[in-house]
Amino acid sequence: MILGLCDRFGCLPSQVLAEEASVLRLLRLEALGRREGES
Amino acid sequence: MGFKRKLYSVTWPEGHALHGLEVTTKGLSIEGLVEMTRAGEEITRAPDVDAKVAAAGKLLAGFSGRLVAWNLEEDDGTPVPATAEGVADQDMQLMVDLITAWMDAVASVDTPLPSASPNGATSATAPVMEASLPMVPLSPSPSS
Repeated sequence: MILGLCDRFGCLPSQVLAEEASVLRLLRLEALGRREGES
Repeated sequence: MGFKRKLYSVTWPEGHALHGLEVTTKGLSIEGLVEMTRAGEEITRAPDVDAKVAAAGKLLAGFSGRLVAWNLEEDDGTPVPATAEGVADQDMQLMVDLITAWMDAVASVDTPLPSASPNGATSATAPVMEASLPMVPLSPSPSS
């Protein structure tokens, strides 16, 4: 998960780990809104 | 005017065992969430009691360090302080349930879609978390 977020936001693991966990809610909301087959 | 950090308020809907409890917390970092998730897993999986106790201590410390306020009361109506001592003095199972629900609320989204739930939780009983953003009442609609 951490490395995936690093790829996604182009930052280091230390930056990802310091980010608020509420960003995970945003990612899940985005995933819920994504249509099937859409990347 | 000074800067106020964002706080989160977690409540539980009617029908949930924790309904009526209101918990206000500071934000949780991804690192904090990962550490607390690990501690939660250690409580159930650790082979010896010492490791379980250490993991429980980590979980309680992680939560109490972010707890700002709650309306939890003792049986005699005395408010439980929102401190490490207040948290440590509570029933362990209640705290584990509360902390687990809080961690879920921090990182997950209550989906409105009907879905199978292995642990019995549904969107109707999931905790509700909202950030404490300043709110003002909406102005009346011109059509009403």
